[in-house]
Amino acid sequence: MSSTKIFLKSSDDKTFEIDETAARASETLKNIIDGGCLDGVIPLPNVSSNILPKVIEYCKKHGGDNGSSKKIANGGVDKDKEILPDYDEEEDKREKVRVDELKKWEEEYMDFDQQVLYDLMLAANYLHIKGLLDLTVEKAASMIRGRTPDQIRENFNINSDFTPEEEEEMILIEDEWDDEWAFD
Amino acid sequence: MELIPDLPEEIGLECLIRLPYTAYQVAAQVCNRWRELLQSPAFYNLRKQTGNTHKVACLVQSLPAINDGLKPTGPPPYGIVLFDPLSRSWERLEAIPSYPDGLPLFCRLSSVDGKLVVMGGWDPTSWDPVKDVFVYDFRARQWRKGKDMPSKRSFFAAGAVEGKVFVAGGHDEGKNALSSAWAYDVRTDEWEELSHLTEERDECEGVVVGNEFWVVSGYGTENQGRFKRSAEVYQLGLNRWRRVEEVWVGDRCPRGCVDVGKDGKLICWADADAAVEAGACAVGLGEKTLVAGWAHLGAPQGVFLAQNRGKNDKLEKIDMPDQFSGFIQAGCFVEI
Repeated sequence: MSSTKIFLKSSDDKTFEIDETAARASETLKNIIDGGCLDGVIPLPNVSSNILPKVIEYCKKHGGDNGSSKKIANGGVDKDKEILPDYDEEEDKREKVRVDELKKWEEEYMDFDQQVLYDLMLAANYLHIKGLLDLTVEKAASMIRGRTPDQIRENFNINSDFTPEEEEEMILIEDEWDDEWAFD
Repeated sequence: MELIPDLPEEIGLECLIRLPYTAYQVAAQVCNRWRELLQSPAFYNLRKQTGNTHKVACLVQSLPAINDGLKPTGPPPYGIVLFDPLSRSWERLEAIPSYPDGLPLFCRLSSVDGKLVVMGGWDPTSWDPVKDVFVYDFRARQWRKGKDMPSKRSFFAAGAVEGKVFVAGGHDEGKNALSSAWAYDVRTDEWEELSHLTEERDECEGVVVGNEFWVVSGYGTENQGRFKRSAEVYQLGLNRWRRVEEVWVGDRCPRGCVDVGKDGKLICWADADAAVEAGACAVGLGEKTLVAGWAHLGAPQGVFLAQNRGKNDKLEKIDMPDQFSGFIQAGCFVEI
């Protein structure tokens, strides 16, 4: 399907082209387009040319659709749907293939280092691309889950601001939990 | 300091909101800001509003019988199981340290701030009523003993509103129906007496409608088993009870089978669906309701999810693994 082209200008003055349908994945761009204030090029002073192509890649894949990430989070199958009277098995199969394909694409898409992750988060937040924000934030959350406090601090460059007394106390608090059982 | 260095506050918060509760204990040891945030009620409320809590049904269920060749003596022991309506998985919660072999019989479950509160019931061995209160913190994965109930009370109504568990009605040790009511504040571990119900209500049921605690039906000492059609609603700011007449099907025990439909009206599950006509036990789970019961006495117990929390609802049967096929007696919804 042919679509109107939109031009985006990065913070370092480089211009990128994107289909209007793809650009609509961004709430911010959608408002600019619908607001009719489109004047040739849309400047994006908060997004650099390093990250903008990556954002455009996401928008191309998700233009006009923001619901798929959620389906993937639920294991790709909408269990409640199966009991609906107009449930169409063939349609559901096609949907499942589509979701599986998207899941694979996302896996490959999300393979990058932490600086890119941060930049993508900021861009997704600024451009209001909910699906991309969900995806990136989820990746950051996965760098917390199942790690030790030291690993988490290292991952995110956080300094422990507990005093030695507090560190001591933390161990004590865990013991206290057990002591609370000292009841009659 | 930012929650996550080099990221705006709102994004740092987005990341932490998505952590499962199982990650809290460790994450709270990262730095002071994380610790304060993860432990704050505001953070819990934010997770609740954004749909990031883990939603489970906590159920009082009889434990699988141990086949030791001896004839069972007395009622089976009960434990708490967790049912996750999204993944349809079942899990057993660790036993309360003071009751390693089974919960107090007919104890009541409620939930405040993502914690589980177990109250009252009868000692599983002696059948004496107990005043015990236990609070389970899913994040610390530990049971804590709360302050005892002010008096021994059996078959009372319980429900949680705004950080407190409200209890009302039931009967005392002399089988006298009660009109007294109390509230337990989980955060301060204190009990506070409330104004009395307008009348005695033994074997009443507690439900929360919106943000109101309802005490449904029950009967007076002189009218054993003749269940009232009325309910009473506690008015938080006024410390008064408002009577609601003709709201319950007459002569039907409300225990376990009261639910609140999407329209805010009470539903009696024993009347709502033939599949659970006998011994219906309903636990509202936000959008859905878990309903257990029998089509008739002697039939196998069925467990269902009602998709729309309403009468004439389609019930979807839930598979129960063998070790979780015991009799479901009561339960409550917990957003961890």
